[in-house]
Amino acid sequence: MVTSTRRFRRNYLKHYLLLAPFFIFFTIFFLWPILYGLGMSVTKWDGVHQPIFVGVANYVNVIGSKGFALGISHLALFIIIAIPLGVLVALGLAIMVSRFRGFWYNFFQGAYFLPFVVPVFLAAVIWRWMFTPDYGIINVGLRLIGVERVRWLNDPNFMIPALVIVDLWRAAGFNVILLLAGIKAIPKDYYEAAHVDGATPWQEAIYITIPLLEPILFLVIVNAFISVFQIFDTPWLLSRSDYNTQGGPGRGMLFPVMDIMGRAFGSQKFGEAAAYAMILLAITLVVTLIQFALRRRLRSNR
Amino acid sequence: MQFKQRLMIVLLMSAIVLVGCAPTTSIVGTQENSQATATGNAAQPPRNITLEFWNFADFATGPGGELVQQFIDEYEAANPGVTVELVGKPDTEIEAGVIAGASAGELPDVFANAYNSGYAVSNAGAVKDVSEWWDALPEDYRSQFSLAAVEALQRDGKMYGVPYTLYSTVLYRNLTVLREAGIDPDAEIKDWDDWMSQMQKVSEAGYTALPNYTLDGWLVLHYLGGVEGVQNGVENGKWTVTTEQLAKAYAFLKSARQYGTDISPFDASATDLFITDKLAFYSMGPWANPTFAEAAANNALDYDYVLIPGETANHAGGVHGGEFLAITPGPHAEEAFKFAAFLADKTQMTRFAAALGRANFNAAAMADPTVAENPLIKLTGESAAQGMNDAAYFVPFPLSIRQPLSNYAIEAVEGRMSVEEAANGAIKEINDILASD
Repeated sequence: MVTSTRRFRRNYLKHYLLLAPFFIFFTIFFLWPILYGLGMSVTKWDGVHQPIFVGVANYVNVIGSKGFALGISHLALFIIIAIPLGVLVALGLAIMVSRFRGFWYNFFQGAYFLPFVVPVFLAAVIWRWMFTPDYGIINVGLRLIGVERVRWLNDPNFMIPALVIVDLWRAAGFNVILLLAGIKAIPKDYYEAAHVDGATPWQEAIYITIPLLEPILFLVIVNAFISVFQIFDTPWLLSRSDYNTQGGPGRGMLFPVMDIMGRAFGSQKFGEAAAYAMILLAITLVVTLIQFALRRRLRSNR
Repeated sequence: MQFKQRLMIVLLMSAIVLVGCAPTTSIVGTQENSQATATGNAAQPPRNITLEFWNFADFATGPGGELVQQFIDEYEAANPGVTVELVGKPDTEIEAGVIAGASAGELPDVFANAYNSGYAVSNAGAVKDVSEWWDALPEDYRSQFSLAAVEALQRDGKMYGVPYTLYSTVLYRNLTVLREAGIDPDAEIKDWDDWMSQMQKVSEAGYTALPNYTLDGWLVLHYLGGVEGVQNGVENGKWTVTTEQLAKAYAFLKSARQYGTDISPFDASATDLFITDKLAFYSMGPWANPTFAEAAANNALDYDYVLIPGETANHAGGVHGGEFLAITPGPHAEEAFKFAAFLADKTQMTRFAAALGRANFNAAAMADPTVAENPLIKLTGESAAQGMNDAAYFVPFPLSIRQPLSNYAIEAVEGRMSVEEAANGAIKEINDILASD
């Protein structure tokens, strides 16, 4: 017994100690809040008085609410437009930038990354100005090519496209950096061999760069999905939301996390907010698992 | 020692101790009195109290912040050992922060709060009943406030704070644009019809009449307030505004739309248009004035402000509301109350109003000659006497009702619904929200 304890200490303790900080932080900041939220989601709680157990009533209320339908439909629309567009734009930019060397490589890398480090509130103010219906630079430009004024932030039909534009501007830089790192890791020999065989830059991109970038592309796509499910600050600021009203005119820019904030801190329905968060967590988990399963299948087919 | 003598000594010592511990709320009234407090405190053992004070962002930064900090410095000088930390936050963040903080036990000591969220913060247990300290204040101090503002803070024998500031919306007019459109700025706008004909002239002259006031529920209230007989409250769980009244406001906004722009009045681009002589009318609270006053001084902006016209000549529009200083339960609550009472006192509120042109609930300060003649404060008072209140106070009245108010206004203005259908839809949704709360 003593010998086995000693053996454990000598052979394994250091490994467990190495992993311990992660497990401690994971439990405190991830697992515990989820379990606490799960418990809260089955209660009616205003944050002050004693919570009352209400079973699944909060889940029923959330799923039956207009805000949920709007939030989820906006999320779905945003995923359909923003993720493919974002990945394609970032990939295109990364391939283009990778063809530069020295100063221009660094310049474009920095230029595309800059929007990512601009504070969101500042970016939102600038974009609100640019989206102004009659005098904003975007509508002035559109008018030059014969497009009548677009009410980007006032008409619910245009609010998601407006958000996609801002998101693309912000997120592309981060993805470009990831993809550039991936491109740099591809051995030069492949390109040299392709060059000898007379491959065009397009063929190099399709047959060498993209297939070998697959692990990074997968990371970018999974990260994009997770970010989109959590999208909050940009639409919150663009739509001038507050704790009482979220999503702007016609709630055209309402997203799940914004609705959760409103339910919790505007209406003090912490139970409903927690139930909504649990539903969102479940959806995110399912989508991420599907992505991993698809990737596994694609790899095994290959 | 005889029992009686011992008893006398005990009673005497108790009396001395009690006098030493007695609340000093009866002498917080004026600056002079605060100095008296300081004298009194000199004999007391040194204290070390830090009060955290959450104030509205525009009274915590810029000229407003400088002035409030000056009051704090004076209070600290008069009350050795007491430090007040001023923290500026937007109003909705104060409300949310206080509600979240109440459950976590992390609250400021004193915070400024809108009357319209008084129910939410008091229901969250974030506001201490200060009736005992309030009642102990001299009548001279208590009577300096607007009676309605004091009564609005009193519920079921409790007092939820000290009356502080108030706002009411007014109509800013760009006089250059009006003259260019052939409108005599001296001619009073009688009612909505009269105003609409002015808007038409502005539009025909190539200018923009009004920003889009349908984009937020609070903005809709500027014009709903102009409907005769309208009351923003709740009765038997239903909103007191009728379909007919709301339809009138929507109809006005729909008519105004043809002469206006889609820009939200909250956007900097709206004020920029006003400053650069492209926009004729802009309704907003008194906080918009410093920007325009600066433009008048630097860029020769020619503007004035008047009451927002109402449906008829008898009744002006606009929306008004107020703010109070709430004390949170905590070890320093009594000191926090003293500080709040000092801040809301005539001496401070007179200087506050005179320097910033912002009205407050201290009627004595408002009557002071240095304040009473300020045109914006005078107009704020007139506007607050008409128009409509921004919510029902200290009763369940969620501000989320502003969302359908705006959504259906957009539907009506865009022509996707008739104004009656939109008003019906809004009221139904608002009543659903009130019922679910």
